[in-house]
Amino acid sequence: MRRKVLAVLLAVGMVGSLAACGGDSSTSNSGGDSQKSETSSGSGTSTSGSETADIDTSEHVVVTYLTIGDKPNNSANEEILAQLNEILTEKVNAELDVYSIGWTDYMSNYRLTLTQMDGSVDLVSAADWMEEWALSKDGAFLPLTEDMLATYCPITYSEVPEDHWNMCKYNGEIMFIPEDSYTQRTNHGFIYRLDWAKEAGLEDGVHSWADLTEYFKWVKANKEDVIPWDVCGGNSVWEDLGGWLLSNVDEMLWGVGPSNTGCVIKENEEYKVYNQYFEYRDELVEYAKLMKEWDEIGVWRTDVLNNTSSDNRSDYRIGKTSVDQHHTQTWTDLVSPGMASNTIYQDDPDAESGFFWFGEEKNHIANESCVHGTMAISAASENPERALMVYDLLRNDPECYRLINYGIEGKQYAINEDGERYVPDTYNKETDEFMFDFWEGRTDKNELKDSRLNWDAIDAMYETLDAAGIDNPYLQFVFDQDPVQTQISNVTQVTDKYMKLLTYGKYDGTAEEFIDTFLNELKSAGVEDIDNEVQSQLNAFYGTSETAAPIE
Amino acid sequence: MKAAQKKKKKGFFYNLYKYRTLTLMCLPAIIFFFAFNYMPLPGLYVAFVNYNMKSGIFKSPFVGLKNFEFLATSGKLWALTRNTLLYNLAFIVLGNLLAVCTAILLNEMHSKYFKKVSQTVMLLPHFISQVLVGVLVYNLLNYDTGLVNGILTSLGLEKWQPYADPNVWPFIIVIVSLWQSVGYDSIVYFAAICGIDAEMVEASKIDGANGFQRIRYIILPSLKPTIIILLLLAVGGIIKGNFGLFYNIIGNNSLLYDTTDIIETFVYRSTMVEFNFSTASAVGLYQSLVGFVMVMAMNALVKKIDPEYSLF
Repeated sequence: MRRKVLAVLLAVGMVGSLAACGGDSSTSNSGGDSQKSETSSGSGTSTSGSETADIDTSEHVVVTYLTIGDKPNNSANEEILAQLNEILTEKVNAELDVYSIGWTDYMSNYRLTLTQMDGSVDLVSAADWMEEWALSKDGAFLPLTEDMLATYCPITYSEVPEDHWNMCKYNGEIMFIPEDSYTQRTNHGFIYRLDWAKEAGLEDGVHSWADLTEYFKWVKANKEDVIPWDVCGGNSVWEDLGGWLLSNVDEMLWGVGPSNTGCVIKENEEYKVYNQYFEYRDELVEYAKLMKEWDEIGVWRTDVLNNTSSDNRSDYRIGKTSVDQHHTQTWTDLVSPGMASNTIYQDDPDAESGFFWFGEEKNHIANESCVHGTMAISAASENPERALMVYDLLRNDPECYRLINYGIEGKQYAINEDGERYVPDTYNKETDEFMFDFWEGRTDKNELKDSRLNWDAIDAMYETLDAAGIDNPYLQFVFDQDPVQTQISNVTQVTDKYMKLLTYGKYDGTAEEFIDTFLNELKSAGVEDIDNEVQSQLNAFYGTSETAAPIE
Repeated sequence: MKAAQKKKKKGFFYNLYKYRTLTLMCLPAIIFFFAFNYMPLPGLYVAFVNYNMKSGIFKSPFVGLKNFEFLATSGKLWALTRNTLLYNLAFIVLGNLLAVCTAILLNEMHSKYFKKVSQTVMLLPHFISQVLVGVLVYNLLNYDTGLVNGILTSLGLEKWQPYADPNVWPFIIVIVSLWQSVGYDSIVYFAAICGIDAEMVEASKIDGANGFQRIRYIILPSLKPTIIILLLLAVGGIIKGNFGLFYNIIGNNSLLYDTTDIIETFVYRSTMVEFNFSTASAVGLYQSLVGFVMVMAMNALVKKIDPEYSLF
């Protein structure tokens, strides 16, 4: 009998543990349910708040800001917050708490935190590279009424132009506050060693993919200890493909619909959906050939797809790798000898960094979208009004702005006679480094010029990019994935597999065969359904009547 | 037997009272399973809805079997199920075989010191995290700086590039998995061997049985119930892959997916890219159902052959 009891218990446990795997998310459910009432009560107070013009801030509240970044192991964050909270308490009777999610697996942790919906976060860092639209659709963010914004976020509300607010709308509701008055460019390209390129015979530097190939060959032959591009296998895949198309397709392409499924609109054929993989098969074949060549040159490690441990950017700073594929904003850091961690400039006085931006050959570059970085309020926030008030202060009050972006004056930064900021000699990275990553609230009017940066090079680059940049006319179109969710999942599997092999030239047989296999799999995964669905939603949104280009 | 039947008739509460001490001792485990395995069961409903954070699981729109469609239409279900089953079959069969052998060898060893040391050494890999195992394998096998290739080069041989060859990975993964699990599994068998009546062993010695005969006729038959229970338990999980092992060793290398992709890694990739709770739960439910059928079928089979050894 005893054995039987044990056996039954074991069996129950076994089946139970199997079932548990399916039921994992139920914890988030109960949070979601209990939280629902809180949200509705929250928005209730907000409307009453806007009716009575003066805002009740009698209750002291804590506003939690969810940000992405690795918090340093010291007390700098707390010291800055203590100063900041004095001001915030005085002005809006609230204090700021920061909940940071580290870069490792940030996307899953970010989504999990939002999914809990337990009111643990109020201000949420959002971005187009962090699925802000998908999250809006999933109901993670609190829709912001114009009333709320005008009442609790008055300065920001009046400063952001109406068409920028329109850019932040999903189904007619404002989902987040844009970071729209901060000058930056996040177009990608290759940051490379200009001095090495000159030695390699490229007098003007690298300005095309072909130049880059020359450059890599020279680095491989002449710099023994340098891995030309020490990249980790999962990285850089989509930027490179997009960059190749920007540089090699005659017309500018605008991506629409779900990312990575290849739906694009050509600049000269408005509202007509093409699938880039099929439309530009020949360009893909060329790309596959070039990447195979790079693989054979030894641009990256042989087992690049399993390499996860390289830190390409740090290696670039110290001269162990010859390129970093990232955006203009990163280049402004790497090009500046004033940044202490860029030791290449101290080791070699001739060192210089150049930037080959994707699309340079054809002068193709998209202007920054104002929803690149945004601030949202969690739908589960218990104090959305106060969160907005805090945000308005952080963004617009110079004192708060400097605290959250630069730290404490005299400790993390100092201001010179030209009004530019610099890092004082007393700064100790160990004890004084802080991290709030308050990107979503940056604005030019409160920025202090960073004296460490190489402004001559940067201003010249911005001038070039500004001259070439054009606006993406399709930014307001948000695709609803539900009707073709199955096809998107399938297509994502196919692109996920083949894009990595393509980007690192890891395929057998000819480039043509490889690309055709890829295209066939895309077709059987149902990519055509996605094209058609994107086209029909686009037609509905813009009132057009195009048909998607047939594939093959 | 008759007494047992009589007790059964007296019902659940009588038994509860009669075995109150044992039940009390079981309570922590019962609470654990109730809290973590039974209470989340209603959450399985998420597999049938189009999940929306604001509405929560039970208020999101019901979509029937739509979330399962993705599994079926990807055309991968069969390959994934096959990979998962075959890998687990290899793990279970080879793992138990090796564990029994190891336990018997340990038992035959006379030097106490050597026995303890070898047990500890074999147990250690079990405590190494899968992330580190992935790093170890990469550092052994990678093309540019791997240990194996270092040795091959110094011997004047051609380098080996396993990360570009999907066919060697079933062997590598099975070997790594065995390296990790055999020491730990052998403890269970070793304990069972220690529990064998010493009189029986002595009697066989007096009857002149040699070492092999003793293993064949005394130890193995005595281990039979333990082997069957462990096999049964393992078979219930045969459809569940060891995610940590596969993900850390294979990672992003899509060259190797054909032979190394199991349900877990596939689901991880597809849900992490899109973060779709509903599809992930649909797959979880599919695995649970297959696992449940497996346990029931295995148990029925065992019952038919020898009712004494069945679980329930």
